[in-house]
Amino acid sequence: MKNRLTMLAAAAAFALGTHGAMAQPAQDKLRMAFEFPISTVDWYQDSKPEIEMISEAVFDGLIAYNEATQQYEPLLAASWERVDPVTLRFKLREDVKWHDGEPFDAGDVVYTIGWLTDPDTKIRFKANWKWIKEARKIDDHTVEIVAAQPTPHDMMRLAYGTQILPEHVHGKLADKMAFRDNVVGTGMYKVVGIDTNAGIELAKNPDYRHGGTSKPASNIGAVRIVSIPDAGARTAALLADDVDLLRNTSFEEAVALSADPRFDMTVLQSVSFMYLALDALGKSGNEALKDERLRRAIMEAVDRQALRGARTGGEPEKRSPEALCWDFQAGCAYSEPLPPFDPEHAKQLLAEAGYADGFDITVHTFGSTRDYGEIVAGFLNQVGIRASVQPMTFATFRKLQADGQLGVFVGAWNAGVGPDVGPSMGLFFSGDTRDYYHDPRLIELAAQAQTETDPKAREAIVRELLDTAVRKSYVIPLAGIPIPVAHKAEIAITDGRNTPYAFHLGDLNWKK
Amino acid sequence: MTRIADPAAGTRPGRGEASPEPAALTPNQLILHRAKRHPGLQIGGAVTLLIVLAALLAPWIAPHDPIQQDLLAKLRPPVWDPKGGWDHLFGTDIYGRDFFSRILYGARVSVVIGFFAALISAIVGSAIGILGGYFGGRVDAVVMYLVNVKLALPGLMVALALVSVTGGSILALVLVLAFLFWDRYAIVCRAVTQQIRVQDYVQAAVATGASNSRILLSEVLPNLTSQIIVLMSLEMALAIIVEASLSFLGLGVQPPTPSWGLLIAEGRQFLFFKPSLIVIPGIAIFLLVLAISLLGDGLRDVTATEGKE
Amino acid sequence: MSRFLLQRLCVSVLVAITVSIIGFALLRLSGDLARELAGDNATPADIARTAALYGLDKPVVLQYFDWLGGLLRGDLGRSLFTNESVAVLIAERIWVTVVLAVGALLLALGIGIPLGVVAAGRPNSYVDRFALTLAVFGQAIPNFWFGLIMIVIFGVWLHWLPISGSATPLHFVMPIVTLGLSVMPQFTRLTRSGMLDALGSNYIRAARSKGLSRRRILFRHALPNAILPIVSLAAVTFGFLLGGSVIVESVFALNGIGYLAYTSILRQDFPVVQSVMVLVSLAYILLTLVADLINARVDPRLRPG
Repeated sequence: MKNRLTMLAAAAAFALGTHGAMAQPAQDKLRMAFEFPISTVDWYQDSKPEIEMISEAVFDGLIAYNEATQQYEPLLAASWERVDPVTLRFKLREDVKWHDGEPFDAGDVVYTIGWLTDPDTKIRFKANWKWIKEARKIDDHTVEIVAAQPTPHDMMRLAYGTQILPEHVHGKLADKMAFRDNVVGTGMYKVVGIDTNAGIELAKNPDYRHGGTSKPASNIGAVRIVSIPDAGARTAALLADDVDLLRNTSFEEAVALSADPRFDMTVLQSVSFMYLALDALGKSGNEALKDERLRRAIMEAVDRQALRGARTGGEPEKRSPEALCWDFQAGCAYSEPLPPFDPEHAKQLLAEAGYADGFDITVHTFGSTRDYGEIVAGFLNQVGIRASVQPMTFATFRKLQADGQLGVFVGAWNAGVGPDVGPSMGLFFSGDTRDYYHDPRLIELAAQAQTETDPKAREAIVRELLDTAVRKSYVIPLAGIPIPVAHKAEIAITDGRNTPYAFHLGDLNWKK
Repeated sequence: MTRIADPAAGTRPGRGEASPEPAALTPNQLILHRAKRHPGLQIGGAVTLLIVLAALLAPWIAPHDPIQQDLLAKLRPPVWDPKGGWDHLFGTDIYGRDFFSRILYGARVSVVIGFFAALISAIVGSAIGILGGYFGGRVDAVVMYLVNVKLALPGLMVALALVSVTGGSILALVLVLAFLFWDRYAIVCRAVTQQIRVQDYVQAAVATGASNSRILLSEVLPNLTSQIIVLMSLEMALAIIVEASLSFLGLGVQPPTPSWGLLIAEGRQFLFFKPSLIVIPGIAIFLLVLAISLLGDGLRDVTATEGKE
Repeated sequence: MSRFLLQRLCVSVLVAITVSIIGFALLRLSGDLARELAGDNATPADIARTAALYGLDKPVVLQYFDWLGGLLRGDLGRSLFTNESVAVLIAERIWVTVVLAVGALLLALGIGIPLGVVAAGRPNSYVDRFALTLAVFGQAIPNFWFGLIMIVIFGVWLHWLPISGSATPLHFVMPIVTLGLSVMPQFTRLTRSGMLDALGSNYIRAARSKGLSRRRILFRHALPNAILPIVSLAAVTFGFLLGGSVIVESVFALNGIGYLAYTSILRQDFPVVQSVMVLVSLAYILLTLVADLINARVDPRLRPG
């Protein structure tokens, strides 16, 4: 393995050696390319991971989560207290200014929460804020956020994806889309220009001082983001010195690129993980999957260890999920070990269930999990299950899912992004069309996990839930998702963010 | 009504300066005579035949299973690389699958999709065109309306949308592509049928009380076959390119089925470090489409009758 | 003339209405969008609320007429995913596609027509063979592949041309060449065959017998006779290019309406898809209408009885 990578690297050095002048950071400006065109920096308008990454640098929430210490830290709020089970009181910082110089205060918070919970507001994922009953202004720098009922993941929701908007700008707009023409935030970067064709231009906000340890400012003076949909053209842009950083690349390509002295590579890890879900109800018409032994056989046929090295050249990932939640997430608890990789036992189980000659099955997958889907099918074939892969477009995925057509599904889930188990439980055991097990006990437990505020009791609920899912072979996690990044040698990337994108803009710095 | 020029027209050697043809030949002898002097037809035919054979025989001549992965043998170089070996003629891809076998099976995908798309569109399009041309009047108005609607739709976008809804099965792709290509047959068949309808022998058949279906099948259709076959080969070449384009955009054949367009899409990641993964399927598409186009042009030239383009 | 005009207009309107119905219906064949819009943790009640908010709960026929009414008023609705005005989305991007289409068409005409004329002037000569070979090659090279290879050679190795984006006119060079090359062959072929017909006519024989120069005969006498079908083809091709530049836009990172339609199709954002589709169709219908009128004016024989 190593040998071949070195060889690839040598070939690369040759291929690139034709014009090997060392490039300098272009006037203190970092240039990146996204896959999709971007016309906004506001996560509320477009909830792609890429937009979240920029949005996070332009706006701030009330609080931030420090992944290293696993604590919530002040951001726009200086401190907070829980007044009663449904009420959080925030004392706001008094020294924060919006990018246009106006002071930030309680009115902005009340406005933002009011807008998010207004039934007429059209934004995606509005269910994220349905737990909030109202936001109350106590004085100019104190607000209370009142939940409709006790909500264990309230802090998580406020730290992730609930960015505060300027009432004096956003509030005055009849058409909220016009906000992108005059974006004003409090974050570490100001928006200089947004143009669908020319891209997004950001400049450092000199007044940004409230980031603390969880959200420190970068030393990069300006950022320019363009879109280049084609993977080949993106690599070409890095080689031609049009961009400084390549996120959507394969491990192999990143290795090959880093052979050039101009480039380095960093392997980060997304908060998302890959999972394998089986149609235990037999909705898809495959009776075989109703048999618990067969489901177990499928799960034991998959070598998760090999999957985990699939995107890192065989090296183990930084972290792999041991259950359908990450250990750092509040409420995450489990005891049942994941099925071992045991192809012999899998074959034996197949024989016991009366399928000694195997059976036909389709592995459905879509988007970024395509390669994992193909590898899983490869493992199933090795124990005699004749598996074919059907990668889907997003549209067909949703349709097949709703129609109950997915037999074996390999998908990726962003783990709910924040450090709380709540969203994951709601996703996997919803009891609606997405739920292919429909186990009444699990649906009941998942609902309890959304409202139980006592940490110990909540963990017990989640433990029973996750252990049952593994024991009955409904759904298991497969692997984490490593994100190889190829970049200019002058750039250093700080690892350790729990986001789907795997890093924030503030995590990029010029090497000193 | 919109008049549509036939963009594929006119590769036939200028009739004024063509080599003299023996006068006393039956039509079939004449075609053979012309074919022997048409290098384009011969080369195109030979290469097409070779690729179709490779596609048909893929299960027997492919050295490996095209979808069997070997994660330990990822990205092996092709045989002409000093590090390459005969075991993997064209090297291996990112999952360690034998690239030569994938190219061979890819030929199947291209040939099958291209052929059936061309066939179905030929049947549907010709039928529509013949009906319009033969019956005229209201029937013809409906036919021209259908053709105009088809022409006004942005084909590639409609195809992308249809595939996104139906999923990229081979059958779905064949039908979507057939939908994209039926109009040319309709236009040509309609025009030619209009000419045939007024001919003496057709009028005579009508006078003797032959049924419409009988006239269509025994008098009109035989006069159209050579043109339909020529069109089919040209449209098949186009269909193959469009299939590759759809697959390249991720809305065509779905992996692990090897389609040449898909192979190029997968190889993009290695544009600079493993160019063979993108150059080989590119050349494969080029050769197949080139050969079929030459074949189609050649067929047109040798079957053309004097005075009719 | 006016009867022909009226008839032609009626057909165009009928076709336009049909196209709008098809464009509207295409993506609605699948999927429950309200569920997607509502988010991952939405309950059935949340989904119902979302459907109502976006008007997805209304009967489809009603949704169609709402959209059609908006279309006639110039209001194309909003993207389901970003809530941006579709009219703005298109307005920001259409110029890219138009520049691309005009450039490619001019390139195709600029090379294709002279090549066809010269080829017809000396049938079966090397020039003729070269022109036909170029035509066949141009049709056989997949343009996404050709684009990538050009990026490698002219963008990365030689550093002559910018690779992606639409910042300067230079950025359009590679995309226009890629797109132009793929539509050029049909002009060469059509010009050549039209020229051969014209050159065989009595009129040209007469000109020849008067001893006019070959060049003069080709360009001054024969070409004008062969140009009508080329005008029609140019109109058709321009319409095709407006809707067919998806791949080139994607390879060269040009934010045109083709790529907009593609990304919107991927996430079933049908307000965007249906509007782009219908606009491209309308452009096509209009262009062919104009081409037909020009033809009918120049050549009255083409007017139907």
